[in-house]
Amino acid sequence: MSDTVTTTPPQPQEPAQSADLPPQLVEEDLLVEDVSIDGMCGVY
Amino acid sequence: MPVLTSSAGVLDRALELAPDVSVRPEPFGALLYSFGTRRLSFLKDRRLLDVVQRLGDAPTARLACAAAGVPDEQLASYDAALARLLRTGLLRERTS
Repeated sequence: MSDTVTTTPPQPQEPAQSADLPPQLVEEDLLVEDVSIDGMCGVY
Repeated sequence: MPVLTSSAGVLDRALELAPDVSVRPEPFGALLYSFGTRRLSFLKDRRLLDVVQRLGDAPTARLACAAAGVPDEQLASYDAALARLLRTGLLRERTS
């Protein structure tokens, strides 16, 4: 009978990027998000 | 092409959707796609979609925001969002 060891993978820490951004930039990103689809011919 | 700065918003300008832009309303807001620039943008708020759709009939973007019921405390956010759409070619200034 083999013993199984279950390990929980470490939770990735979210980078605190928004805290470093000026409030205006963070505010601007809340309503509009740009997506680049170059190279995705026929997808849209 | 005018240079947009943080102090010179677009609320007092007459704007309209660029003619090569397709709008697709979604539950979360809308998808805007420009066939000219191949740019895809998400509007993350239905009220912003309402504002964008009212731009063509409103003398200024500010009045379009007012007609859509945008609270005064949120005008700065909408100003920045509209400025971004203008900068990326999804909106353009209206001449008439």
